[in-house]
Amino acid sequence: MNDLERIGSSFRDPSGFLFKRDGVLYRQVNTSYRKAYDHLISSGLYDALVTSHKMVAHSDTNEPPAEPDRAYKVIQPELMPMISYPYEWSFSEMKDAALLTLEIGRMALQKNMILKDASAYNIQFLDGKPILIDTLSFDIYHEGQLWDGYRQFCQHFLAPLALASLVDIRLMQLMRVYIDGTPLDLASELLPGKTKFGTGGLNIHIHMHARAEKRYAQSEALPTAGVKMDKASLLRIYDSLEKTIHPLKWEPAGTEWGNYYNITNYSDDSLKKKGEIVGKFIEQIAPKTAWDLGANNGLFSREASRRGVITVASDIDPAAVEQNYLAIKQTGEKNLLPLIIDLTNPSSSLGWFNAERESFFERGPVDLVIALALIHHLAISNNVPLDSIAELFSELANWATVEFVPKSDSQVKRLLATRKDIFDQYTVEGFEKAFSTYFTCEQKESIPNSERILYLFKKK
Amino acid sequence: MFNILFKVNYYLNPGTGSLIVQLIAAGIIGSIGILIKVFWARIKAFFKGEKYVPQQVEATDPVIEETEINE
Repeated sequence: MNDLERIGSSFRDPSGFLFKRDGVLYRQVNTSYRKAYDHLISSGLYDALVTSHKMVAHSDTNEPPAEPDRAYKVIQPELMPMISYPYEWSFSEMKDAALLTLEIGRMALQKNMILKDASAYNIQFLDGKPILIDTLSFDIYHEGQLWDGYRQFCQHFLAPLALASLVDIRLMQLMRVYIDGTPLDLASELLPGKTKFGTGGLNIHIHMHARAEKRYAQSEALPTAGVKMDKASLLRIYDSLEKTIHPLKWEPAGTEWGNYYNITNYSDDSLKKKGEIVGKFIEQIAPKTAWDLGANNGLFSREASRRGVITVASDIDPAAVEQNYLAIKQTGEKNLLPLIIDLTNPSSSLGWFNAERESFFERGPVDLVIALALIHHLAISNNVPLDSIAELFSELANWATVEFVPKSDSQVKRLLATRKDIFDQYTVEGFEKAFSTYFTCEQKESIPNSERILYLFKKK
Repeated sequence: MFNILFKVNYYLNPGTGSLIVQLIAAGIIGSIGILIKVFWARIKAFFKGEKYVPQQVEATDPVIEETEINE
């Protein structure tokens, strides 16, 4: 019996959909999309996008379709090692995803196709670069056509970037609340007044856009019927969006964690030793996938990624994640994906049927969880019991590399300085006992010149 | 007549307001480009000590047919 499963995020576009059979991911292309699909291939657009690593490759397959009545063909897309969502991206990840979308729009027009949507959820990250994963994003371009994806682009990319850059980085989290991107009227209300004047891109694409949407929301007659726009004008809109996005910057000011490695009580030598121990543990268990939780700027995540382990480096701090992404961009490192995740409130499942966007944990399990200098934040700052932390790690992975930071450590002293110490279980013994319920301890090593201990746990 | 809004294969509702802003955007961005071109010609003429002769500028602004936008 075949195990057939439709993918929860793939139902809006009538051109086709994703499904899994026996655990393998396929995409059905519907007959209604036949002409466009054939044009994508025959025009050379597919090859141009795939060879420049802007779109995911796929192979033809003889796999039977999931819905034979409307099937044109079934293709098998190359798999992304890890799926992420815009509310988990750092500023520059979002910006690069936006610029890629515009670049793809331009490439499509050269081959007489048009991006029919501009969803941030169609972009994923592979080896530190954004990549389009929706092969069915293109329609055949008809001379005079306007861009249907314009509003979506502004909601999914421009509004969050402008808000992050000009108001507050935390407003990128609005993407978590609004499944189809930040509403433009809300963005317009929140953006500073100086963006409302003249022919500035933000005035046109956000403020005027929001006003026009409101004005025509109720109109039944369509004043745009019969309106044409030539290709040059369409390209000018892409250019204008790009010019609006380019100067948007975000540089963290006075971040709590951004310079964490400069303010810890670690000596350079201890840091190096810590990295060596983590590296040794990783070599010992040879995982394929790892999640480094509370990874900061990914210093130790690289012990995994540079050994070929597909690694997610998650942290609550947008500055650390940004720093990590910029470093990956600069060095061209592979296998490492930095994401903003608050482990005490990780991304939940969202959208229709609660199935369009997977929760962070649904995207696991992985082979290895790395949790360095994290336990004291969960246990002391967030009052999470140690055995609950151990239970969580055991759900996420078969192996865990965990650092225990005792109360005598200056970082823990700092956390306890402003509150009553109600954590009598928070001792080496209490920690080992809590983890022993779910794990066996395979290795235990003290980090030289510190009071910290590194453990390698194997799930029971 | 070419009718953009009732073509096959639409799954996103582009939104009327959104389409109008696109036209305005294309227009605004377009006319700035043209203005600078004309102005640049004037500057060049000034420095060369020539008399400025306006040239025909080819407009590639949005073509609006049979429709009036009452904004």
